[in-house]
Amino acid sequence: MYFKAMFDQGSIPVLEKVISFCEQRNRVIANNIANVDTPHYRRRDLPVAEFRAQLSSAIAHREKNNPRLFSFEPGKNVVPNALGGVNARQIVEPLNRNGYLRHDDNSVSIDREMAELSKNTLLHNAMVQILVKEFGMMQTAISEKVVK
Amino acid sequence: MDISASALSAERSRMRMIANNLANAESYVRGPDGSMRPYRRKRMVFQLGSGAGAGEGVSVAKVVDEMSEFRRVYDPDHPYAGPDGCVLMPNVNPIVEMVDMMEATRAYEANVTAMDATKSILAAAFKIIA
Amino acid sequence: MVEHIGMNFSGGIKPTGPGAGGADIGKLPQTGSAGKSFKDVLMEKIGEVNDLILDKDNAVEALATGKTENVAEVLVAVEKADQAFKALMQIRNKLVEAWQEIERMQI
Repeated sequence: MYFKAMFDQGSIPVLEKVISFCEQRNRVIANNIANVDTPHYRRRDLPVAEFRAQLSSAIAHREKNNPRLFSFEPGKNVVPNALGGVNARQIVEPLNRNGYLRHDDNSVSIDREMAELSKNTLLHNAMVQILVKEFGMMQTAISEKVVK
Repeated sequence: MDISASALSAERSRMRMIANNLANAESYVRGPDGSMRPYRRKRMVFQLGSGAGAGEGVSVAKVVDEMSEFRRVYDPDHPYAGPDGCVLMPNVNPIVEMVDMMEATRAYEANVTAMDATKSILAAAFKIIA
Repeated sequence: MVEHIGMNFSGGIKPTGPGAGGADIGKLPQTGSAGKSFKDVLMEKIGEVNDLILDKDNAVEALATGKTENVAEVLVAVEKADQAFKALMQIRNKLVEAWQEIERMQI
């Protein structure tokens, strides 16, 4: 169990969840962009606010049950804390009348989709970079070698 | 990425159709009853869902003829002129076609960007390992 | 030797002479004197690195849950934690080396 717990600490589970969410959202947004000219199409989304709320509560839950701050005293065990509670994300078909509707009954605003796409990609790539650094730190600890 | 690819081919089909409309803006075609009639402007209708996935991507549902009125042009010397000297010309308005073409191009480019974003995400994910 | 390892957290590891600026981790323990023991200093520094790492964790959480939009800030925090940890690791390596050298000494 120790090896699994090794990856359940700190920010790695958080990063994993966000990266996975961003990847799925990219798919949904790409679908919106693909259907920009389809009549009667309503835009879909994975609501970010909802995901963030679920993530926050999962983190708080973890914080409560397994306090992250382990005091560095010799002899005291490191307490692993997994990010429990799967952050379920469902594809929502919301916003029937958010104000944007075209003559062919299509609610996709191409500008909005492009903006959301950019933001999503940016967040995903930033998180991946951070994850790489995390694993790098772990590698430093494991191999005891300080390499760039 | 298949989603974006389906959109690219759908928009490309639409652009081809628009080009066809423009090319035939002055044409007569032989109708099913054998007589010559003006070319009718065609329109394309998209639908959600491509061959691969049920609820994702886009594909062409159908191509329909636009049933608006033919233009009447006064040209008595035209071989197809009617008794009043007017000729029925295809209901293709070049300006409308150009606007449609611009819209299709814009949608095409947007989908190219979407595909690039997907590629960037996949490339970033590979960085985790290497 | 140990006393020549000076620690400057803003500039990485570089050898300093005695009395130079920065935290001088490697002072030989003055057992019995009023100064801090080596162990205390070491623990303090480890605590500092731990704080940086916790800061990084908080920053990443804030970015993930949307509390901040400042990606650059989070990346800086990550980098700081990474570098500090590597520096600490290097210190640990040097200490181990020094200890092994002492062990090898023929008395």
